[in-house]
Amino acid sequence: MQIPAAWGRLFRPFFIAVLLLTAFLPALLLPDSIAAQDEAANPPGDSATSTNKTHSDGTCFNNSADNVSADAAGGQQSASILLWSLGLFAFCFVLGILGVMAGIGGGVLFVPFVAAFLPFHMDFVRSTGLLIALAGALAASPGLLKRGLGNLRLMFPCALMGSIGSIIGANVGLALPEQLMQILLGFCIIGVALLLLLARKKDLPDADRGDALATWLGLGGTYREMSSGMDIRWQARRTLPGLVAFLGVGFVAGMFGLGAGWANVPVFNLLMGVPLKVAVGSSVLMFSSVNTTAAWVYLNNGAWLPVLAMPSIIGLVAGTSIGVQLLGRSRPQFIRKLVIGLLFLAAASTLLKGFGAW
Amino acid sequence: MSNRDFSEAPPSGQSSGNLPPPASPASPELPVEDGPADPVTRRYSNIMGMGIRVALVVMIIAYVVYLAGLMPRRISNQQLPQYWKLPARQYVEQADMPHGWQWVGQVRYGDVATIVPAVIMAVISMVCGFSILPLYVRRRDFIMAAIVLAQLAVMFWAAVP
Repeated sequence: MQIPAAWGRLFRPFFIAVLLLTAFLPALLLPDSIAAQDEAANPPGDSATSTNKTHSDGTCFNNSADNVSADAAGGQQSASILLWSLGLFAFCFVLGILGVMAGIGGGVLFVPFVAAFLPFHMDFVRSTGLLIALAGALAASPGLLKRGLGNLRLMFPCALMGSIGSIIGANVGLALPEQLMQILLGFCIIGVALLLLLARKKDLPDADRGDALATWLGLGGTYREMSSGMDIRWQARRTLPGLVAFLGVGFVAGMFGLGAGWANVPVFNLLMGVPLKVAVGSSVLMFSSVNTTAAWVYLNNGAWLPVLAMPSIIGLVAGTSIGVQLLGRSRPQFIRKLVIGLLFLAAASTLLKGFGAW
Repeated sequence: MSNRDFSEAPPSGQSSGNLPPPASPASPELPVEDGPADPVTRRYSNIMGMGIRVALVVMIIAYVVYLAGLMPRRISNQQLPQYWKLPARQYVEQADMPHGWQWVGQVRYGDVATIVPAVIMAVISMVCGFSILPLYVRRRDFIMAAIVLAQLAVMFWAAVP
C-alpha cells in the first residue's frame, strides 16, 4: 500500500516530536531516589571549598538523619520539575507552530507570556527568549540562504549595528528592576502588536536608484521569485537611516530578549526598499548574529536556568518544524489575527503584573 | 540546463551601480556572487546547518542527563523554586553558581553542563564568520572582510565577561 505523499511529509516532524518527548522517559523510569541519594552524597556547592551543609532556610542537611525525608521530598520535587519541563515543552511546541503560521517569531510570543504567567525572574525569561530566537534562526538560515532569500552582504552591516545595540540593551535590561522591566515590556509588546496589525508591506520595491552608501557597500542583488519565475533586481536605499534604525532595534531586542523580526522586516522592506522575501530572509539571518551577542551578555551574567531554557528551546524548534509542514494547510491571516490578539492579552497581563495588580 | 536551475548558473560579473529594470525573465546568467551558488554563501550555510544540528543533539542529551539526575547538581530540585525568582546576579551569588566562563571548570555538575549547548549555539555564528573571512580576502573584497571582522570583534566583546 502506498502512503500518501502528504503523510510522508508530516511523518518526519511528528517522528522528531515523538523522539524528543521520549527524551523525558528516562526521567520517568529511573527511580527518583537516584537523584535524592546523589543529593545526600553530594550536597549542593563545590565539594572542594564548601563547608555549607545547610539548606537556604537554615536547616541542616544531615546524611544520616534526613535521608528518608530527603528521598521523599526529592522525589516530589523531581516530579514537579518534570511536570514543569513537559508543560514548557508543550507550551513552546504550540508557540512554535503558531509563530510560523502567523509569520511572527517564537521569541516575541514566548517572553511576554512566560513573564506574565510563570514565576521565573525576567532575567531568565529574557535570556531564554533570546536563545529561542537564536535557535530558530540558526535552524532556518541555511535553507533561506540556499534558496537565495537571505543576503549576507545586506545582513552583515545591519547585524553589526544591531549587535552593538543589543549589547547595550542587554546590559541596561539586566540593571533595571524587574517591576519596571515588566511595565516597559508590556508597552513594548503593545507596540509590537500594533506594528504587526497596521504595518503594510511591499512585495517588490519601487525601481528607485540606491544611495551612495548602498552602492559602496554593494547592498543589492538579484533573487529568483519562484512563483513568477522572474529574476528580481533590487538595491537598498536610505542606508544610513536604516543602519541607525537597526541600532535601536538591537537595543530593544537585547533589553527585552525578543527576536526582532517584527522590526527588522519593516526596516528592510519599507525603509530600505528591500523586496519582502529578501527582507524576511535577511531578518532571520540577522537574528543569528544580533541574538548571539545579546545572549552572551545574559550567559556571562549567569542568566541560565536549564529547567526553563532547555524544554522551551527544544519545544519551540520542534513546533517550528511542524508549523512549516502545516503552513500550506493553514489560514495564515486568521492565525495571525489570533496571535496578535494573544499578544495584546499578554501585554495587558505583563502590565498588570508590573503595576502590582497580581 | 533549466533556466530555473540557478544553482548551476555560470559565473558572471557582479551587477554594476546602474540599476537595470527590476524584474526580468529568469536567466541562466543569474549572478553567482552573493547568491545561493556563491562559495561564501554555501560555506556559511553549511557550517551553520551542521552547527545547529550538533547543538540540538547535545541539548537533548544534556537535558536528559540533567532530568534523570545522572550527574551531581549544584542546586537541588527542592531549592530551585527559591532561586528562579531571583535576578541573575543574586542567583549567582546566593546559589554559588558559575558566571562568565567559570562553567568550564564545573561542567561535572549536571545543571552547569546544560549550558554547553547554549554556548555551542552562541559560537556557531562566530565560526561561520571566521570561515568566510578568508574567502572575502581572497576575492579582494576588503570592505566586506572589514565588516565581517568588525562583527566578529563585537561578538568577542560580548563573549568576554
